[in-house]
Amino acid sequence: MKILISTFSNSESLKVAYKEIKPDKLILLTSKEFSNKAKAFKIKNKTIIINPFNVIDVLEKIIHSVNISKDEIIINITEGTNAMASGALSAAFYLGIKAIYISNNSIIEIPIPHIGYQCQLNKTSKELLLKLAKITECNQTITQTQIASGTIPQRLTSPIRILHKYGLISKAKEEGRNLIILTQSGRILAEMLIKGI
Amino acid sequence: MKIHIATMGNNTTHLFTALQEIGFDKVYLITGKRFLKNAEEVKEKLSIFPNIFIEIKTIDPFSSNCLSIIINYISEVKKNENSELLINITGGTNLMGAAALSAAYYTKSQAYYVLDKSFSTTDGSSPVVYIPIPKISLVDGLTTTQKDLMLQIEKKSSKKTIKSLKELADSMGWTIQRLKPHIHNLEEKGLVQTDKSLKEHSLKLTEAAITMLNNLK
Repeated sequence: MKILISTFSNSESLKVAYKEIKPDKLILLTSKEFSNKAKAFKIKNKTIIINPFNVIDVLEKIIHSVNISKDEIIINITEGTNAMASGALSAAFYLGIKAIYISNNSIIEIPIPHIGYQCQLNKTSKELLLKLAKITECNQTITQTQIASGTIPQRLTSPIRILHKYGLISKAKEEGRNLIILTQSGRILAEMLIKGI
Repeated sequence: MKIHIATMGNNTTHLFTALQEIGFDKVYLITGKRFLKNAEEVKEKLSIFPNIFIEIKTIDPFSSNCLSIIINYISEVKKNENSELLINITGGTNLMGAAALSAAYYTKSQAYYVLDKSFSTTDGSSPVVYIPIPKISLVDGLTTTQKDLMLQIEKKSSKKTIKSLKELADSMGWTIQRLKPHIHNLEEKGLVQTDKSLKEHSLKLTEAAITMLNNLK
């Protein structure tokens, strides 16, 4: 199924994108202010309310609403605030999917390789990221000893190094203990893995 | 060294908010010709600080090549500065912001968005919101063979188009049968585009591939 996800405020660019892409399903991301306009839009759509000034909110809501293994997803970032467009574009980079901008009634494709970030982690790094996401929440710290429970501590050295190098965890020391903190990018990637993306 | 690159339009408040919040040594401003005067006013205001470098880059914010101009500009700044960049994506059109953010993903730089004061002062939190960009190079998702193949395609053609698969296979000392699955894989990753309308399939690198290679060197 071809799905067009579009940031929404005034519908002009959306008409062009819809006509060119001919999606099977339309998802509109919009603020409360424009939600009635989105619902009343002449093409049937699913409306998702987002905070127009929260990049992370837009990014996470897109990740939660797609199934890239089943559907072809295209994201239109033309309308709405720069924060909305940035959140939508970030989702496209994380997932490795197509993003477009409408200018002068024609489509400009944003150059994004179709390589999701999750593909670039090896099996052990993915397992560790999932484990971290399950036992902690963003910004909460956990000690390296706690992570190691049920496994040989030396086996964690390499995946911890990789996740740290990729900015998915940060490390700190407190009272002689090694602390691990899941970063926001780490949490988003973990959510993608939990979703099976 | 704190090096900022910011897209900007009419509104310049976000620039000063961020510079005050984070600090700065160098500032690169990207703006449409229509707002050049605003950018020059920013430059004048910032020039009261000693030893601060400020550069203004003007672009046509609605042209189709605005995207690649901004991405290439930021990639060049990153190469020349050889230091981490702080990219402010708040100002200008959505396309300008998207180009700056794309550059941040390609160059693994920090990108941030500045909230309007009315949204951020209620709980005392910072108006500067960082975008969570992993420090993962997009190139890491490719095998060595795929990287070599892309470099070969780039090298073989100055206009980024190769007339046939055979021409490419010959240049690598490969058979077409060996080449085809790799090309198919790169095509699936959105890095190579083949034109199958001709008897012999021609191929070229996509913008995404060219941008990736630019940031690889």
